[in-house]
Amino acid sequence: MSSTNNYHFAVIMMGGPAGRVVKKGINMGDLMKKSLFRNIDRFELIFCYVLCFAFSIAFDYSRRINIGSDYLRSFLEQFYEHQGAITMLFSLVIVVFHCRMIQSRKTEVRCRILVGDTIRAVTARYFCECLVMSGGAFAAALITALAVRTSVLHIVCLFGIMVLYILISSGMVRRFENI
Amino acid sequence: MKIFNFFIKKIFLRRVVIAVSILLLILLSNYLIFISSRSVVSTMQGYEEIKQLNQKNSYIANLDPESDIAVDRITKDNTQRLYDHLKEEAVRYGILAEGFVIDMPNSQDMEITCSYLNKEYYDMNKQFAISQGEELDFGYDVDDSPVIPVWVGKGLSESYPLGTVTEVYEPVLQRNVTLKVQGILEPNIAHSNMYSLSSKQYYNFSVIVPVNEGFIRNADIDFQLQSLFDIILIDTTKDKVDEFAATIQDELGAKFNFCTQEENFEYFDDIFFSSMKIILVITVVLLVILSGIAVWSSLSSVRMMIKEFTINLFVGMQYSKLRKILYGYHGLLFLVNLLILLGITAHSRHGNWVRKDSYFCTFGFCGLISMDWIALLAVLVFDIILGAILVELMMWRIKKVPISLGVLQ
Repeated sequence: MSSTNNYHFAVIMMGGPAGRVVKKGINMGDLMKKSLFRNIDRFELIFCYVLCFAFSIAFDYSRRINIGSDYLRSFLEQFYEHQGAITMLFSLVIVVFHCRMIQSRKTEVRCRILVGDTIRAVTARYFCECLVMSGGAFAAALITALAVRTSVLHIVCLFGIMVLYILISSGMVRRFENI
Repeated sequence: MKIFNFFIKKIFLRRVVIAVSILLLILLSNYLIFISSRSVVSTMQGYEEIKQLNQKNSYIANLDPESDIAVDRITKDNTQRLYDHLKEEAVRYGILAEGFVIDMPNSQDMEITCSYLNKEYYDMNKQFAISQGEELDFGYDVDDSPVIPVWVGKGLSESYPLGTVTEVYEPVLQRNVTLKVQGILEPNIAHSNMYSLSSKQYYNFSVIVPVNEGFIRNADIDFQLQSLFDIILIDTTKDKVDEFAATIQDELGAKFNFCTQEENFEYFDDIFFSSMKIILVITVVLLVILSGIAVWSSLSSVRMMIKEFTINLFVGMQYSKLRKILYGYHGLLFLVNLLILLGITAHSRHGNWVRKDSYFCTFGFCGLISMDWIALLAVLVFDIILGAILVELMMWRIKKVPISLGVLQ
């Protein structure tokens, strides 16, 4: 599914007027132009996604390879016991980003609504853009995991958590409608 | 205090998701520091123990990694001839054999294991200390005397107090013997693994059995063989050691290496320093990443709370007061983190009791032992440094925003 189709799909999922979107002919260019993200935000968010995936892959990779040193193995085993929780905690950096991002764009969202935009379209654009970025990072992580032959299960779970964060933060964008 | 409460409740906790996220991200770096410090302390303890065993003119045995040993083809005659050889050549040796399960019912329902050591090993290793009772007596005669004097771990002191005499089936002698509790070990006496210095086993639920020549002669093949693997030949010459290695080769068909004090120090120094290097590199790399994330998250939270901060500064709050509040807030975060860490460690230590993992059960407040407290202290020091960096960076960020602009946000 292309990025534009992704966007239309997201609008439908958010309960948005798909017909209107098509009529207005919003494409990838509009998505970028009307985005709530600045370039630095995109860079930060992608960096957070990549960092989380890299952390998870490094964890799995160190488990997979045959570590010669008994000492290093016993040291790392203390982390393996809590791998799920550690990866989950590490992903909280994404939560901090989303919270800060949404908080700082509150006024911008209101202004957009004032000039004729709809909260659904704003939310859908936000959702879609986050999904594209996380999806890109996920695809890169998946290829890396397959290349280094580590388990993809943790990456898929991490991606699921990221999508959950995106959905929750998208819900926070929608809250601005009532302000 | 009133202003502090106001800031906590109305400003910091108003964005509870951010506060909890930062708390948990700092917890992650604290956990890393905790594990690393504990590993370092444990490795140093192991290294100290090895230093005691590695004496001048002593040779520590180890099975050559390339050599296989066909245990099923070895008979007791083979192993006994090796001990006889040492006796004929008047070579003193230290032995420690562990892991033999003995049937001794106890109040904690733990599996009890016996650790056997001879006088030479006991004299070299200063780890074994008692809180009650007398020194171990190695002079008993296993053939004539019906009673073997033993020490028991602290965990067994309730079921087998000092002076208790009990008849049990001895797994090494393979017959019933009478054990007399002659001493109670201090809590958390441990022995480090020679080849993984940070790994330890605790003797809280162990029976320490003194062994002598007569005991070894009467013991089964498993004991005799296991004792040989880490045997330490004391005050001897290279010729005698080589001769003994050749006898082992003849009797067991396996190649044993006997390393001198210098070789052992070289080997253990290599293990010790390479282990330290590994821990240091991993810890520093992860710590830089996690600290960077903590700084970035804190600066993000300042951006979100800048309006509240500047309004308070606008109505007369001093920067020094705000700094104190931020220090107080971070102090609170670190305190919660330390408590969580303490809880995780206590839970992990308690897990050994639940699983009845007798080699890892420890005594202490919440089951925490000295190395846990040292590691928690290291976390506290790290938190103080990180807290100072975070607060000063936050203050720098707040001061950068003009009050009028901040209020308008």
